Amino acid sequence: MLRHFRPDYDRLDRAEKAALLKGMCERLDTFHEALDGLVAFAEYGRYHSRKGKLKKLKSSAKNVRHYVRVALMSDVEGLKHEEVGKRLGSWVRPDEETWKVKRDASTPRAWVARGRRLLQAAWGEKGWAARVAAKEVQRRRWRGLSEREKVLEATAELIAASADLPVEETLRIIELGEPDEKDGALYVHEAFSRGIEKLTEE
Amino acid sequence: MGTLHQISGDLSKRWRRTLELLSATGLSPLRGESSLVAKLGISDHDFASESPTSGVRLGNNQVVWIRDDAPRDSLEDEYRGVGVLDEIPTAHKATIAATSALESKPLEGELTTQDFHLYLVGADLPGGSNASENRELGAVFGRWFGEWAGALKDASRRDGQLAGITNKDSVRVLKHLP
Repeated sequence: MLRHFRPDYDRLDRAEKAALLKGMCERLDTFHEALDGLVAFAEYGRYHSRKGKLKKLKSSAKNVRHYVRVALMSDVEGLKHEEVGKRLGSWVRPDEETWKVKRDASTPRAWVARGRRLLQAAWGEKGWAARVAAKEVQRRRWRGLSEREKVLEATAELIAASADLPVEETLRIIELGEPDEKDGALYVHEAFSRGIEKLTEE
Repeated sequence: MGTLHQISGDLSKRWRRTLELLSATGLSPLRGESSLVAKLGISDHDFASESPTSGVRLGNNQVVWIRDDAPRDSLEDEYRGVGVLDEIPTAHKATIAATSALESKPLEGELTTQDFHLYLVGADLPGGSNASENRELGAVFGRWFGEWAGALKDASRRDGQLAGITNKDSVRVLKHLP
């Protein structure tokens, strides 16, 4: 952007370039913050009629993450509602007498239902069922992988997400970079960089 | 007369265009369900099921973006998870930034809550911002302005927020707000 607005940018000395870049970054941060705030307010800004003023903006994303997580435990991993509650550690089972009569983990059940409704709202009932089936296949496949293969694939997933690439394409680039036999995620990153270099040379 | 011209005709066209633009990005809340969630403006579940990222409108009207195949947090995760983002995708953000720059301008001076009440009395009038585009412009302004003056008189009697307002106030508000 600086080059666009300032044709002389490349001729400036490094101190001035650095100061201008810093100034631009600070202003871009302010711009993004303002834009995010504008969109959030337009979406879910609320009026408190009793107090006669606007309510404080509060994102529900944290709750949604929780509901989605428990729906995955139930639908993909097949955990019972009680097991979901136990794994999360945030649900207290009723005393033994009540449990004998009720046998119903109503809170985790409600969480699972909410999460499932969200996921079905996102992709439709059939779409969510298809994704559950695909994740079951992923589970079986993952169990058959060696530790080294798991590191390679999990690191490729992270690189793919940050580079906005499909995982398959990322794995292809890593293979092109000829990963060595060392352990750990670092060798995967190094192989990805070498793969990108080779692609650029081509 | 520039502002009045906007009220009578151009404004409705501009807003229609803006809403169409937002609708094209999938952001327009044109459809919804009263339940906890409603899918965002998309009725075709088969289409939605193919996309890895989907917007979901929550009960509080917030839109969250659900993304399938999120990266694993650890090697213990046997399957790829589902990510929940409350930040809108970059392309949609760009549309909103461009629309804001094109369709709005900074306010000159400060407007009070009463000014916004005043503006809404005019905006709520039938034919206010929706005046027929084919009618003769001068006649439309005259009639609409007359109706607004009448509505203001009524509103100032009924609503404490608008007590003591004059036609001069309404012209000041028109200068500021589209």
